Amino acid sequence: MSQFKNDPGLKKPHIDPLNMNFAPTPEMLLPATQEEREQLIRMRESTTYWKDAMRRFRRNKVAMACAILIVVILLFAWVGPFLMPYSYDVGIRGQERMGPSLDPFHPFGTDNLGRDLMVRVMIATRISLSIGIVASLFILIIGTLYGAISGFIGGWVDNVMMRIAEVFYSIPSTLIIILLNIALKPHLTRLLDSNAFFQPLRSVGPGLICMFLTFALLYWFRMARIVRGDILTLKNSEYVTASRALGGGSRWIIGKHLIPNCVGSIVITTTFEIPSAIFTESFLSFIGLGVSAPMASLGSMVNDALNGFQSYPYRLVIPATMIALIILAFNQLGDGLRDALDPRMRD
Amino acid sequence: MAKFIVRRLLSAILTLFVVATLTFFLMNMIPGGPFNTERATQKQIAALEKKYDLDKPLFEQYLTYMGKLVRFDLGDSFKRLGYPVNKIIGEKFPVSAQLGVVAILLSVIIGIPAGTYAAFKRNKPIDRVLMFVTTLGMAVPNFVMATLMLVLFGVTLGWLPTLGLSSWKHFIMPAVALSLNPMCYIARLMRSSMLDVLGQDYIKTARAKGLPERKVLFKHALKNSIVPIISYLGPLTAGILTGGFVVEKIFTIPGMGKFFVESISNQDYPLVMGVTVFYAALLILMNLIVDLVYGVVDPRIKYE
Repeated sequence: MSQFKNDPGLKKPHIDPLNMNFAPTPEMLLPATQEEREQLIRMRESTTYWKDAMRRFRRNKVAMACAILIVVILLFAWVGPFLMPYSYDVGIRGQERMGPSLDPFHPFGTDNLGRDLMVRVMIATRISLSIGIVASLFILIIGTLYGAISGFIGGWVDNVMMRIAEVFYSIPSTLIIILLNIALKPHLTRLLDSNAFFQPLRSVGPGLICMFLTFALLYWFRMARIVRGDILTLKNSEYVTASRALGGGSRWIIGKHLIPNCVGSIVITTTFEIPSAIFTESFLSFIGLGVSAPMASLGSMVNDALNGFQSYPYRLVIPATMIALIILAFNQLGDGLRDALDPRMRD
Repeated sequence: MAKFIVRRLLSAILTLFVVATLTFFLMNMIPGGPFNTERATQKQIAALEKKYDLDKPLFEQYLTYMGKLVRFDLGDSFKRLGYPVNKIIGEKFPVSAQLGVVAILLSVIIGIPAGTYAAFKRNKPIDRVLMFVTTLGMAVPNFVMATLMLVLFGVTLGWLPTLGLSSWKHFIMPAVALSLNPMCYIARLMRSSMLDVLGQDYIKTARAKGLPERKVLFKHALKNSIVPIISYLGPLTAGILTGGFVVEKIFTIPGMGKFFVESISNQDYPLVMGVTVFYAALLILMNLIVDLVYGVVDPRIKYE
């Protein structure tokens, strides 16, 4: 409100609209003076939706702290391994089963094969984060397209598409994810090995690709439901009707009104999908279905640490804390984004 | 109402059909057969495959399986010869169910009062503390919680037994590990729903009438704010059932979860399919019950 306080426009002589005897004096009809013109110049840049959201987000201390934490974790996972003198898959002979120590430099200790656990935690964090982020991107694309098509076309198409989504919704997803993982992995391995076209994917590994695919196949419906709901409300709102009445075609309405107004909830949902994908991934790795050795993910590291946790509790606690930190940070970031992007959704 | 139930039942059957079909074909995509063990000769494998109709075309096997499924017959296990899947589920599921029910009760009994209390003490230190704890609690995966508890209370301190499920003491750790996430979620859900209700006009009216705070809470606020919790009971059951897989593994509890993971690596097709279909049916039934209860609790909700 403060920007209106000094607004020169409000200082103008007040004209009572109900006064029937209103007669303009000649002075009122004169062209505006230079001084008056200058007063009408905008005092400050008008704020956009994104600037406004950014401002709200910056004021949210918890969310800002979590955003910084996520950046730190990203650096830890992607830059960290380059700074370490060890490799995640090569053990150092003579330095097996070490506790956390600074000389030789093993802050998190080493495992039974003499592999430095700090590098392994870095790589595992990288794997877990990539799964979370890539899976949510898949979900974003599939879910948004599905929901948008369903909501925009409406009618029986919407009905059929939502019935299909409903079936997915009531499938016990973890069971199917486990099955999909086991069933797809050998075929993916064969496919990757058979064709030179998939060469770049081979380094990612069939286990990871399998994980991306299964998440994408099973978790898109949440996003689809949200986007569809948004599109349905927006489609029937007054300003879209007005835009249509003024001759706006479907393309114009989608590009100008529907997409920009959905972005907020899409961003929020995607942020919440990341921790849930990381959660599921670590769960699968924990029961031995995720990435295969010598690769490590945070879940598989916790699983490895189970044998011998009495002697080496830190091997369990470090990756476990990392999982909890990542999930916590993304959950809080999602909350912050929700408050910033969509103040109506705040509780 | 009747129309709604019929529609929901039809959609439940459709979902079950999809799950069964999906599971069947996924299981058969896995290379190698259930009888390809190192000791078995080619002849033995062929004989066993013939006995279990695995030599027939895939689609015929599918039809046979679905035909049996309709009569609630889940077939025989491949690994434990002559042991029907129904019998295995009948033996193992009660163990998992016991644990699951305790975990669900625990999360509801602690979650709801905690959320209500936080809402009544909004922005007071106790509310802040509760919200902080629940935020943390939601971030710790159940298997992490289970292992940490096992290390701390089971091994280091030696207060609680770490194996099996034979006395009430054995239930403490697995049940707490399983219920931590949903408990925290319920507390947060309850708080925001309660805050929403407390801001309503009828609460102001009740207070203006001079109704004691206790009556406002139990007669007006609680009843209305509990509705979102009921709709969460479906996903809650699913989470507890699947969470049971790892918790059973960690605490060596002889329930369905441990069995399911083992049966997948053994390629025991009928058992995997049986467990999946059984769990799917359980979840779908739970969702249906939740929807029906929802309408009873909140008459404003109309069945389409």
